[in-house]
Amino acid sequence: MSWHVDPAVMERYARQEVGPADAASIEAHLVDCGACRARLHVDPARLDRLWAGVADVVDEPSRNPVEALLRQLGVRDRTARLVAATPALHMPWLVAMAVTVALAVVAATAGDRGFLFFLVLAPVLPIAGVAAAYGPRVDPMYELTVAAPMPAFELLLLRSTAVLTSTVLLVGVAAIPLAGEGWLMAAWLLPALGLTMATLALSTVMSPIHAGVGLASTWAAVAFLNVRGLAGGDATGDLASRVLAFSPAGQALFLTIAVIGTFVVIQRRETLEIRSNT
Amino acid sequence: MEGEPSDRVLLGAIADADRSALQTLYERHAPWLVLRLSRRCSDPDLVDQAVQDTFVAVWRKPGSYKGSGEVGAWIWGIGIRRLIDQLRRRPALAATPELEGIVVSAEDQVLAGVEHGDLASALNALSPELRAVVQATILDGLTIREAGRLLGIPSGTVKTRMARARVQLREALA
Repeated sequence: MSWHVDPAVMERYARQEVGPADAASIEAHLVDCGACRARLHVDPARLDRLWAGVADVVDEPSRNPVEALLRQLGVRDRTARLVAATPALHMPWLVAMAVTVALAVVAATAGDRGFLFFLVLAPVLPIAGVAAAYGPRVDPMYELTVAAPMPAFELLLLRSTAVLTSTVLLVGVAAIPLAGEGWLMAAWLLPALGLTMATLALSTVMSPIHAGVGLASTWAAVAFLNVRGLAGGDATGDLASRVLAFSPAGQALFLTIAVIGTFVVIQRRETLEIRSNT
Repeated sequence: MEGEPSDRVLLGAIADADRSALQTLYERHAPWLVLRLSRRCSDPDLVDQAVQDTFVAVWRKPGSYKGSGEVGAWIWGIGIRRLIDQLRRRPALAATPELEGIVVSAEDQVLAGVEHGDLASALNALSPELRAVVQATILDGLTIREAGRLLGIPSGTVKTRMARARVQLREALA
């Protein structure tokens, strides 16, 4: 390009001292003239500050879909990141869970025993998710979360809610093919809620992992013994509805456990605070 | 240009997540963008935010540059729209320094006459309101609606002012 803006005019342009026509002309020229652009003077401190802001965003690790969704829902940035970092919300975990649920549903369509297997397995999934939601062994962000300006209790609650919601949704959707079983197809919901709350309550006295593993195996063992006892007797009626846990009395029991568990968790939330700091 | 990579080459590198390419592009284009946006908005904070948003947008979507026209013009298109986004969030602050009436020095008048001929004096002779509309639509390449947002006036007003400016320019250039 042969024509260039006079340096003195350029100087006045930078100070906003030229008229509109000149400014328009200079601006049109600057769009494709690198030489003139390079002669513009803007406070270097301002440019450095702006670049630092751009670099912050550029260097920020990419958000995972969970975090993006939470932000869409209006959750604060920091909270969204802490919740999104929940191990049980990560892809490998979700995929593993989806496969497990899919297998269980396939088994469930195969007959009574398969259906029982599904009902017993379903409540274990949220326990596993909640147990792994918070703790030094499983959480890659544990050191960060302990130092995070948010009560450990609040975080555990937030993450548990996120895990419970995602698990229940996943299992619920997967169970649609079992709709023929009537209300029994939803009989796992209350045990899932009760056992999850019990896990949280026990987490105030022991690590969430131990609490989760303990409760899940107790649940599985009791269910197994119960089913074996039933199979020995006369096989009349629906097998699943005769298992204690899925009978009306059993359902009421798990609802009670859920209520008590919630109460204990609220009462003992400070304990969690102290435990997470040691 | 002295063997330095062209803007297009830089955009290609940015598409491959080359951070230093973005920095080079920023060093080349941020100064004029800051100055040009400052002429459209008197609040430096909004200008700063718009400039940052612009380069973040360049980083995220370098592919939206279609390869036609200057990279500078493309960056300007993003920048002015980011500024409008900022103004929309804080509409009370919409104000163009242009409207405050910058005094044009005699020297500038002469310069304009020499370099741009009659068009420049015709443009300068427009009232600040009409000139702002001409600048936003014709020179900055905004739509009627975007110009209205930038200037803080309804679209209908942008249209009537453009029509008036057209008549006035036609008379001045006749």
